[in-house]
Amino acid sequence: MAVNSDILRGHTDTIILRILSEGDSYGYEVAKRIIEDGEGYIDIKDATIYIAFKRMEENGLITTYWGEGVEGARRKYYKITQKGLEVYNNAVKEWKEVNRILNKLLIGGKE
Amino acid sequence: MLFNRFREYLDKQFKSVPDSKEANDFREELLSNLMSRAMELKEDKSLTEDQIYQKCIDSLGDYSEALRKLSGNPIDTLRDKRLWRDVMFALTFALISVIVYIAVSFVTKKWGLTAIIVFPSMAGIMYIFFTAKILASNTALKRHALTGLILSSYAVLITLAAFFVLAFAGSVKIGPRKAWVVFTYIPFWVSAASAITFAVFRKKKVPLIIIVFGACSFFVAAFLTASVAIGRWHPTWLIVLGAPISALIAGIFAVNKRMKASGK
Repeated sequence: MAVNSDILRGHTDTIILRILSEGDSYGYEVAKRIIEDGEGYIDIKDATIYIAFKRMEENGLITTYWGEGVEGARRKYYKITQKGLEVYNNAVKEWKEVNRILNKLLIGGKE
Repeated sequence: MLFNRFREYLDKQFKSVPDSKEANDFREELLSNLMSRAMELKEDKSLTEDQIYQKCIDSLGDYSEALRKLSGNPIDTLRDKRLWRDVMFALTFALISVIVYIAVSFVTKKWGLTAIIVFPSMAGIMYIFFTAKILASNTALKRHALTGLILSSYAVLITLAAFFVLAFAGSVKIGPRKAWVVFTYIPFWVSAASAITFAVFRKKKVPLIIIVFGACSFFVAAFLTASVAIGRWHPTWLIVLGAPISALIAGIFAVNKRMKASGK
């Protein structure tokens, strides 16, 4: 049951930053990782990733460089910057808090 | 070969995007990602090349926003070589028109008549040239806001030319008193243009209202043509009955189809 990218809204940048924090990557590989890690629940289109790449590059969270080509077309690689890492760490901290609160609100469990 | 098919696809998508480093980089990035995906899908031997191609294209999603950003900057548009090529083409064409006008007028000594024929014809050719470019880019981007309007304007231009030929020139010269009838076909041509836009360009079903309007306007125009041709309004008015009959037939077909679809 794949759901569309709505479920990722607001988290796409953080997810991409997480993947890039584990190593430089390119568009297709990032999309593949998201779909694989999403265990069949997540479907994401390349366009969503390109738009996020562009936004984060403009904000200085990632940089790019050209790598080896596939049959004549070079691959554009993305690399996380120091600023990107800081933003990612903050986003993860924030998510843990929100997750804890939402669990309390939705399930009603006691901490 | 998939590489060439992807390249052709991207060429079409980027047709209206001005040439820039950013646009070229984006195109190359899309191409390499499409190829990476295709190479992986190729390992699944059960997939045909067409299936792989379609899966790869589908995986791109909607990137029209990124394309719009690349083509939305007016400074980039001004820097685009293609714009200047078009401007140069228009200027050269205007210059040729003037030369043709002077040369023909000089030979025929009919300066007024030559102007009436040469300049509107040249303007018409130029109009068709530029609107054809818009049609090509509409087809590439799958956006057809102007397609119906452009096709309708062609119909009006052809009708106008037909009127002048029938009224004043040619071997079947019939005079303006009768030739005006060609204008009554304009509503029919407009609905035909809309129908073509739906069926050919948008690849969608033609709405019933367009079919009915087209058929009705055709029968009215046919009635006027017959009446003007024989100089009597009776019994030619019977032709108009074709309008409600054709509307009824189109309606029955549409209802039948809908019932069949819901029956399935």
